[in-house]
Amino acid sequence: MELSDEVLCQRVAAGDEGAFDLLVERYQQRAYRLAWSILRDAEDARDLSQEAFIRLFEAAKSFRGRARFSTWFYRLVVNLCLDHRRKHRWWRGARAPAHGEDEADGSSIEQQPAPAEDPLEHLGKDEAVKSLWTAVDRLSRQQRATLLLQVQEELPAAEIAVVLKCSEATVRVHLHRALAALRKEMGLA
Amino acid sequence: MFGPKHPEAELIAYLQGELAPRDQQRVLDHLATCAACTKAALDFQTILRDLRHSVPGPPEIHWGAYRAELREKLRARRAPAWGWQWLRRPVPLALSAAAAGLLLFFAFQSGTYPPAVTGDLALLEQVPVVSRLDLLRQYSMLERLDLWEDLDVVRHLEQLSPRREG
Repeated sequence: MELSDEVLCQRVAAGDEGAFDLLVERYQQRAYRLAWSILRDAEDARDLSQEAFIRLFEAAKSFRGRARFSTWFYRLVVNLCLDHRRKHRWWRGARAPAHGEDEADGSSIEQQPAPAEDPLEHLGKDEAVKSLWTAVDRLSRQQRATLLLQVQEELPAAEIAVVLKCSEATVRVHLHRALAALRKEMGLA
Repeated sequence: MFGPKHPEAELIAYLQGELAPRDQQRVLDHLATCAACTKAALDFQTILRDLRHSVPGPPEIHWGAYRAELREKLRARRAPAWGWQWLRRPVPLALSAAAAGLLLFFAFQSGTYPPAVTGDLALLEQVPVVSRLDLLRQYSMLERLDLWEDLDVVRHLEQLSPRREG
C-alpha cells in the first residue's frame, strides 16, 4: 500500500531519509515545473525547487497536517520563487524581458501541445498561444502566481489562498484582474 | 440580486463551480440580464481553457542528476563548517562588526590606550620653548635677551623687528 504524502512527511520529520527520497521523487517534477513557470529560468528553477526540498527536510516538523501536504509544499516553492523574483527584479528588468528567456533552449511554447480547439481564429494558432503566454509574463507576481496555480496545478481558490497566504476573496480578485488584463491584451474586451 | 453591481471577481469562481449554490444562482441570474458580464464570462472561460491546453513546460532535466545534486546540497547544509556557516549569516556578522567598531571608537574617545610618549619626553612637551623648536633658529638673539622667564615675549619673538635686536 502506498503511503500518503502526509505520512511520509511525518516520517521525514522523524529523520527518515527514505521517506524524504520518496517525497522528492513524487514532487520533483511538479516543484521544478512550478518554479520554472514563475521564474522562466531553468537554472533558477532547478536551484529553487531543490532549495524547497531542503526546506521541507528541515521544516517537516512544522507541517501540522491542517492543509494537504501538496498545498504546504507548493507554498514553500511559491514563496521561494516570489522572493527570488522580487530580489532579482531590477536585474531581470535590465537584462531582458521575462518572456524572452529560455527561448533559445528549445522550450518555446510552440513545442507544447496545441489547444484542443482554437478560440482565436483571427490569429494563427501558434501566434495566439504565444501572445497569450507573453501577456501572462507581463502580469504582476501575485496575479501570475495565482493564475499559474489555477491553470497549471488546477488548485481551487481555497487552496491557492493557503499557498499564497491570503484570503480566498483576494485570490478571486487576483484571478479576475489577471484574466481581465489577458482579455484586454488579446483584444477581446 | 446584484442590481447594477456586476459580479466581477465572482465570475471566475462561478465558472469553476466554487461558489455556494445560492451565490452560484445569483451570478447565473445576473448573467441572464447582463450581456457585458456574459461576454466577459465566456472570454474568461476561453482564456482559461487555452492556457490549460498550452501550459509551456520547462527544459528537460536528468532527474537522477537532480536528486544527486539535491543530496549533496542537503549534506552540505546539514554538516557545515562552523566558521563558514557564521560567515553566511550577514546579520550576526554585521552586528559583530558594528559592536567591534563601537568598542574601538569608545576606546579611542576615552583614551584608554596608553599615551605614546611617556616619562621625561612627555614632560618636555609641556615646556613652551621646547614645543616651539623653531625659535632655536633665533638662538643668537635669545642669548642677548634676558627674557627666558617671560614666555609671552618668547612666544612672539618672531614678531620682533631685527633692527631692534641691538
